[in-house]
Amino acid sequence: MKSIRLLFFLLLPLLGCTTVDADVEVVPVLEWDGEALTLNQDVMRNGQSLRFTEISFYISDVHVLQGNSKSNPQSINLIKNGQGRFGVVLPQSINPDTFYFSLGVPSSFNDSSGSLAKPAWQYGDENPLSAAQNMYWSWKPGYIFMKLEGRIDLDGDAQYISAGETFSIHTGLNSLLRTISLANPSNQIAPKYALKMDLARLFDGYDLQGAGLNVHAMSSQDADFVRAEYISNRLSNAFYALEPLP
Amino acid sequence: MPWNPYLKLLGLFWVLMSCNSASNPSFETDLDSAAWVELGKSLFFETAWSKNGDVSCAHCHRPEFGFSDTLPRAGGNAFGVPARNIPSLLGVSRKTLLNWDGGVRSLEEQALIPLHAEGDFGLPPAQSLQRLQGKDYLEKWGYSLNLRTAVTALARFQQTLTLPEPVMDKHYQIGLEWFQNQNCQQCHAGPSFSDGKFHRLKAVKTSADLGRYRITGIPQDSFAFLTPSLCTSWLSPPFLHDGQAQNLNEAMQAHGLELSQGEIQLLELFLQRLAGMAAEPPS
Ligand code: HEC
Ligand code: HEC
Repeated sequence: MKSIRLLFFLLLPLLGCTTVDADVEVVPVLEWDGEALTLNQDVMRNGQSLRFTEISFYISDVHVLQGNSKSNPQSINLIKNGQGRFGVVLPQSINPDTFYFSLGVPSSFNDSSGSLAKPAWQYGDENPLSAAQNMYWSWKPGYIFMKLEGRIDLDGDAQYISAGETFSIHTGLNSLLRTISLANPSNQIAPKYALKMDLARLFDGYDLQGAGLNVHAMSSQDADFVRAEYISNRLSNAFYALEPLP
Repeated sequence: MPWNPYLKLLGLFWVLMSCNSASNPSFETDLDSAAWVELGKSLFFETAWSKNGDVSCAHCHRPEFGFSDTLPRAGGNAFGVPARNIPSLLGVSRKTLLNWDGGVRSLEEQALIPLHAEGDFGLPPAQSLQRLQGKDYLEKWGYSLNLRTAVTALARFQQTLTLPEPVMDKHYQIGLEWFQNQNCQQCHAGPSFSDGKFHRLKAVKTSADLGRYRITGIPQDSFAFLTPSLCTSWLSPPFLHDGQAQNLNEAMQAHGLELSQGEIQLLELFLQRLAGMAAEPPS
């Protein structure tokens, strides 16, 4: 009995502070047109070659439904440069057919109007919400939900050196927080899932040139807000499947 | 079982310690207020944390111009953040909302702007901080600097920058009387000659910079800007949020006012006295 208690206290810090302390582990897997995608890899879109130099986003509020209530306590995870994973704690004896999560930072944390928000400079540098993560706009305080940056060969010279051959798309704002739901493909819970995100689907019908190359709408009054909204509205197409991993 | 409560305490301690491992308690516990200010001052004048090693806070907020500059505009970026006239930092701790649009609520948060990858230093904050490693003023404490400590120190230093001591001679008295008669204090109120509110001047030139509207989304706020303190205006012409007014005449025209030469002269002498000067403005 004593030793069990001792063990419990020694393990407490691990339980309290690590990010993946969950029944189910989810690993985001990036794709372009159904093929695995890595940073700095050339891919084609409408006959133009492009590459991503940064793909970062917040995944929050990961949960399943248990009756009418959400299963999971508030969670905020930062997937930085395509790297990262997160956990879902499941209630006992539940076999959910759908997983839910949001892309972005919940409004309660996003800006000073949020009920749970504290200033981004007050978090320790390693915290996903720290301004040190460079996922924060300080001009009009609020988090950048998703950053997609890279290069695009606009003039078709097989190089990315001409002026303006870069893109930088940053989305945020409470009104653009999107909840995504994905079905569990089997009737059992796997310990680990791949969360497939096909970035090509995000850009379906999007005009990736001119003003479309730089989107940084920090407020809905900004001219590029409609583009940020377009991309945000395609998130539920881009995150297209959960696949059990061995 | 006397060990039980101790173990609980130990457990709690262990949890707290491990959860706080990302913070930097050493600076935060060891620095007294003078040391914070000193650290903040070193960081304020530090150029190492900009991309090309040539930009510090003081590069734009120059002490000789009341911690401002005589450029019409600076800052902003290629992604829609407007470049604006650099505010003086003298008396900045009196303000509750910062920047011309009031979008920022604290000095700490403000310091994150230059430290943003798309801000004035041109690097992500973690990289900027890395460049400071080995600096004498950090080495002497023996801790590495994190973002929270850096912006706290910068804020503490800026809190020591006070408004100039006005020269209360006869030009001051005449100017103040005129000022009151003109009802300027409707907006330029209180000891810093600002009501801390947002107004759209009658004849202000409009541009892509929507001002307060961008923060609030309220249409009436478009092209409204925070009333500037007049105590530091004379230290760093040109005037207004976009530095469009080269002289007081133009600044008053933006208010929809045509002043006589005599009145302009009077206002000029008054602003000089407010800025603690009895002589000519810097050129
Ligand atoms: C490239 C020039 C530049 C640099 C470098 C710079 N600033 Fe500024 N600063 C500005 C401009 C321009 C504004 C006004 C921005 C606005 O209103 O949107 C400003 C605003 C401010 C304000 C708000 C003042 C007020 O009265 O509202 C503070 C505080 C401030 N800066 C502190 C700093 C600190 C601290 C640093 C260094 C970490 C720094 N600045 C670096 C140009 C600069
Ligand atoms: C309705 C409110 C209001 C009244 C009344 C008003 N001002 Fe202003 N004043 C402002 C605002 C707001 C600005 C900044 C506007 C901008 O930058 O677009 C400003 C800017 C200025 C500036 C430029 C300061 C700087 O450092 O750039 C001066 C000088 C000035 N006012 C003087 C006066 C005088 C003198 C009067 C009276 C004759 C007056 N103002 C009346 C709101 C007012």
